[in-house]
Amino acid sequence: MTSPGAPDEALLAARDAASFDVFYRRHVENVLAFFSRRTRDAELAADLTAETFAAALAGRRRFRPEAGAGSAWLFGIAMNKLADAQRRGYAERRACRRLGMERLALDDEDIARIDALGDSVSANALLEMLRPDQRRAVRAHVVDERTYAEIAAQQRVSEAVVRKRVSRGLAAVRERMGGRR
Amino acid sequence: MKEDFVARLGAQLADAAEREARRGPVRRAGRTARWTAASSPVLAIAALLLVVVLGFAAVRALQDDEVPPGSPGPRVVSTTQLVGGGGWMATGFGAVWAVDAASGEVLRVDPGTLRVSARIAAGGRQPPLVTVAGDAVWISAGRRLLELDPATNRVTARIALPPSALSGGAVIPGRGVVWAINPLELLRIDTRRDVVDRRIDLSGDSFQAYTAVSDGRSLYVGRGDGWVLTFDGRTGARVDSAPTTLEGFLFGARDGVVFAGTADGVAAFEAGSGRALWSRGLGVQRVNDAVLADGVAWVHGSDGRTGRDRLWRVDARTGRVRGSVQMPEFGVTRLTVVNDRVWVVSPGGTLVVVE
Repeated sequence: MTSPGAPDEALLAARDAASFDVFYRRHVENVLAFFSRRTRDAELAADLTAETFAAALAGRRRFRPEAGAGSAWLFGIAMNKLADAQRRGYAERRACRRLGMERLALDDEDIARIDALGDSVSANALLEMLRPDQRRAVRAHVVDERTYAEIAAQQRVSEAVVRKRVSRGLAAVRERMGGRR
Repeated sequence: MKEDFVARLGAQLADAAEREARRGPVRRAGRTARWTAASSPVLAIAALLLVVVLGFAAVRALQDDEVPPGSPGPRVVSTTQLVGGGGWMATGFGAVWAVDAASGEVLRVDPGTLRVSARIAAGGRQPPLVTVAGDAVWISAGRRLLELDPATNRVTARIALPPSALSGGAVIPGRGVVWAINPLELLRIDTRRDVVDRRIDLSGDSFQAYTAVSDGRSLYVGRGDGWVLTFDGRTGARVDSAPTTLEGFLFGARDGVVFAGTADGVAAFEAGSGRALWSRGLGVQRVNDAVLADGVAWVHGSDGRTGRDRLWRVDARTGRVRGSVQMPEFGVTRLTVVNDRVWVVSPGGTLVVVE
């Protein structure tokens, strides 16, 4: 088993159940909050969360660290699941079915908790509100702990541009946090 | 103590991961056995011939998929934040009608300047769906259907959908009429009286409808058992039904041919017979959305090799790939074609324009 403090990339590369469980625990609340905020529907958010992690479990062999961080890969799956549900009008359960996972029924406590997650403004929620170029830069620098030089090379812009995007993005986050107090 | 949803889902995933891990060695053992069998000289020669034949076929397939000389492939021309959260889009009446999933509004956007000239509140708990059909813009919000007059940007009718409607469902244009669809029924809308005046059952052997398109004359509905049902676009009379290998969603129809996303690409079926006219694998982990316009199928999918999202241009007549471009954003909520350009909106609300 990979150690609980291991980076996402190592957890996804390991094939054992325990490593994926660590990855799941690390991200599940952010994913639930993301879906709850976007759908305003706890049942749908729960179904989409289950489907996202089932797809991640089934597809972790396809994860390529050089293409981006593990969290970005997971949210890429989540975004596609959300878009698909918006197009269909309901959450598909293809990955869950393939893994033999039954649909989980929610009780009132579950629904209240998921609704509350959607209402809370987490760091990820604040990031989502940023312009895409700022969001990518802040996430890469602050969350993924990449250097300005690495981000500049990956995004094909100058280091100064990356610094400006991170600085402005963080300023916008601070302003929004202050605005809520 | 009763466990919460997060704990129960975690336990389910742990069980599934254990099962996957156990299956792994069995699959590897199977592969080993096959290679051992192939070690006899006759089988080895046969395998070699097979590799040569398949290799030749692969090279031919690659040649078929090349972009013709002199015709540039698609390229990203702009990336803009369009809405707070991406949703459906539709084109019509000189505008793009885009859903802002963050606010629950429908925005009227000028395709040239991207200026928003009207915001229409849809209500409902979930982001609305928007479709252009007949003389109006239709907004599906929960179990209500709103008819919007594009001349005034005002809602002129609010139509309650029957209680059996599982979700608001999409609106599809018929022949002189408008239809709403949900997994169980087609609902014809009488636009003079603003009521549902005909209901057509779509279920069969407990399978539900999950995808539908129209070519103006007929409606084509895909059901969970793979059957494609064809209905007259005005009366709703069932014209044809045929079993197909349909797995994904329908995204276009033309002259009795329906176009569908598949597990790893796109395909065209003759709706009346269910016969596959062509099928094109794109090597994707999944097809996210697609749109048919002017003989071209634009297909958005997650590239299986890179893990990035990509947009393919596919000739709808032959199924040949005519180029592709990597997308700068993850995900898509809707594709639409505007003045020969493809608009792609991501769940984050970013508009990427490709030409």
